[in-house]
Amino acid sequence: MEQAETPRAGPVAPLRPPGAHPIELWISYVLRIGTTLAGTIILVGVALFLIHGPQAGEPATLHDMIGGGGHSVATSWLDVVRGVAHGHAFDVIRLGLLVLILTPTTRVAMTVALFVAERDRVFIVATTIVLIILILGLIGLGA
Amino acid sequence: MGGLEWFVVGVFVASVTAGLLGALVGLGGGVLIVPLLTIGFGLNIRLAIGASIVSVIATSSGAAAAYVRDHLTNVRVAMLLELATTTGAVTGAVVAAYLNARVLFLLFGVILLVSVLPMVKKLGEEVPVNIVDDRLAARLRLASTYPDRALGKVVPYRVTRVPLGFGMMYVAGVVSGLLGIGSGALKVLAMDTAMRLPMKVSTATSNFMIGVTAAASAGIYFWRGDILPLVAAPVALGVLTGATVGAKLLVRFRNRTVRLIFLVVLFAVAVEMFLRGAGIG
Repeated sequence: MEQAETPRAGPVAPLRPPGAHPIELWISYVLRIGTTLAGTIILVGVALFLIHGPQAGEPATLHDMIGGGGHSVATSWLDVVRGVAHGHAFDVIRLGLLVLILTPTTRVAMTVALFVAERDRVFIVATTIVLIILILGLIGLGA
Repeated sequence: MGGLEWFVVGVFVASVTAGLLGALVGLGGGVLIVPLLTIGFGLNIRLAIGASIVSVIATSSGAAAAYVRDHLTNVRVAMLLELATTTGAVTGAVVAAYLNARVLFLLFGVILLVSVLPMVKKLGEEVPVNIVDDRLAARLRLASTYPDRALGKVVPYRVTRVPLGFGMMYVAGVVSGLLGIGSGALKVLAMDTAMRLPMKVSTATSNFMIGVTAAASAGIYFWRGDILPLVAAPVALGVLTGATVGAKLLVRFRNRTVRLIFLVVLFAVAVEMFLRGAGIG
């Protein structure tokens, strides 16, 4: 599956640099799974919209949505969760977008694990700070 | 179908084209999304930026998966510099709320012209030689190796001028958070030109960082309500589709004509954004 793991013929066989950690491989999987999952949820949301039309309480016509350039529609975790439970198209799309934002965040969390495994204090601290910045944005601080 | 449905289809088709073009010339499609939504679809620039930042995460995560697997990414350099880019991105996203739309148009025009730079003149070197680790790079053990398939061997490299690179990365983060783009051009400028990383490593590491940087500001745009589902969905799906197809075509298609067309498009778009900012467009 992975070139580095499976020796191949030719001069490019053992290309895994010394010190590369298997967590890097898992990070690569998480990135792929997260993007695919987010894309699928967004696609489901768009399909729901095309079948049922715009959800109640949201812009219903093109003019409502982008007339005069359009305006922001603030939301909250609670609204998104409730909307998804009711199968509301816009909130399903919002959930997909949140999964997309969560993907790099998960990657950073895994990198913290990588540095913990390597017992690298400076990098444990640096990566944790980045993770905290991402989580603060994700829960809606600063908006 | 009503007007909204056609709008979604139209934005999707346009985003596929942007993603495709972006992948063919090795630039994220994100830089084209904001002009597309504002000039093409008459959207408010803040909402265009909100939709764009999400698509940046999508393309970066997709591409980064491949790069990490190929061991081209320097995870230590990426994590260190992400301290600068995420802080910058949060600054940018917060400041954007207080800026006049016209200022955003002007800034976007400037950044478009800067993005053209790496395309006109090849920056950095494939594998820089005679580089000595600076104090920070040595202390943080940033030097590493990468497998070069063209050379058929593992290539060791050094890292220098870390503080300068860190500062440039903060600026790249601010620009990303402010304008909803990956600012890959600025990141490559910092890693290739300042820190002297090999071309392949800085490209892969920059791509790896773009998603994290974008995620830092995306949350702020999301809860502020600047990411409209019916705009962001077709943009994210479209750019992702375009970028995936583009990456496959790349092998057969990399030629001067495509780059030249893209350059002309970018330049024209930059001028149009300037005019809007100046209130003439």
